[in-house]
Amino acid sequence: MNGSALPPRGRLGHPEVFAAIALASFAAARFLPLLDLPYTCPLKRLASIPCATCGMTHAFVHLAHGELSLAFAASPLGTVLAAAVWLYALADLCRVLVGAPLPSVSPRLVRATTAAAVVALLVNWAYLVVREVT
Amino acid sequence: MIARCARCQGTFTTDTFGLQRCPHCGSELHLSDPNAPKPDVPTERPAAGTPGPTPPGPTSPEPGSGPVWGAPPPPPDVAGGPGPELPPPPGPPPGGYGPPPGGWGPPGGDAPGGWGAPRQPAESPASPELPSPFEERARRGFFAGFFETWKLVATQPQQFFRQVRVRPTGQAVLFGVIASTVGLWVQLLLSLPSLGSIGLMEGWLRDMPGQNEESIEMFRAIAERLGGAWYLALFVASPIYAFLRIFLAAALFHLVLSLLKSAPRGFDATLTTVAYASGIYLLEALPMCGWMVAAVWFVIATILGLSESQRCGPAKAALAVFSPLLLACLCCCGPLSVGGLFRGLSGAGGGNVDV
Repeated sequence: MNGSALPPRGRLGHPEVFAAIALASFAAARFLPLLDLPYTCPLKRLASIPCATCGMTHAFVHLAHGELSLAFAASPLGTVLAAAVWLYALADLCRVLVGAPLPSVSPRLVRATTAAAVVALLVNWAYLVVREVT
Repeated sequence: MIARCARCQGTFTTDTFGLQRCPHCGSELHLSDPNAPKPDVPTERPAAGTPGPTPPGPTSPEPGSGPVWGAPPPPPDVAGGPGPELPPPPGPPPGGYGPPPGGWGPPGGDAPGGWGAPRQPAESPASPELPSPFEERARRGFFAGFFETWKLVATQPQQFFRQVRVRPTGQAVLFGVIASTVGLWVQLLLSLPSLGSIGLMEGWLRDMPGQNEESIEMFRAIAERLGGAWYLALFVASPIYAFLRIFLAAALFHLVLSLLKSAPRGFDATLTTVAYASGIYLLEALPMCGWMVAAVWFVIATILGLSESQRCGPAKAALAVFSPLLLACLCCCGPLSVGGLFRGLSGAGGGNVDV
């Protein structure tokens, strides 16, 4: 197997697009007044139960301002996700600047990561629900 | 020896030449022996610009030569130079790759293998990948190429996504962003008259008996949200939103397909499918229920498209598309029941039971 098609060395490809999206999310969390928007989670409003992604905006904003404890209090998974995507963006930026090739990721690793992400989402949701009702 | 399937573009290793079966999609392919005596027809293509005998492969599009199907799919980019030796591309279909007599016309035409041709059975040999009409807009004209592609995506998604080439993805993303942005812009323009009516309704609501302050506040928040700078920001951000929607949806769908081991053609195929299917969001320009029609149509086109472009079948494609909703539905039951249990327990302990 020669793996999936990778962008040649020095060319911008899909990884760079996702890195740009990640950097944009940091800029939005750092500089836009996202927490001032009048928005409440529909599930929380209807059933008084947080949804799986509740608190992620707060986590992104707090982490972008360096408030780690507040970020974890808002959503542990959101904090980890924000840190992961921003680190990925930095790593990809460095890779492009250095001109290093994109490291190959095996399909098995992608599947394992996806499954772990789904489990993490469920665990985080259970934590939010238990915290809300107790 | 590494071989690449011409149908699903998946690679596999084999030790023998001759008739093979692709382990990914099950289609049969023929691996020719390079040591076998060469036929009269040359197998190597001449370099660009060098005169030489015309190979039996597809013809190159020439300006002004009428509707041409375009070149065969380019070899996939492989980091580190040219890849391993691959089998030769499949032979031309009956009638060659040349301009189909029926062109890009409606189904039922007699064009062999054309966009408008009758559907080939799934087990048939691989058909060549074709550029979409939008990619040929320099020759066809922008609007003709755009609307021809839109029509194919909306009305013949299975046939279109089976044959459209998936690399490079830039043209597909451009198509999706343009169509989605136009839909969003028209939707915003159509909502302009309703801005004044929201303020008017707030006044009516205030005069009505029995209205609480919360609903009036909600109307005021909506009016503020839709007015002035926020409206302009939405207008400017529409292309960015369309771009993000395409990439994030493609990433999500591809993760699920990868989890199901149903993405043999890689992220490019998923992204191309989602991007072209996002063209359906042009229907958001329809007043009132346009966004709903667009959303449902997008889901259908994406499911049919992914099943063909990734050769994974409609069931897995539907699972990939519905996975976010499915996850939410599955998990909603858990929190609701857990929440009810906790509320019951806390009510039993504290004497307050929420009904």
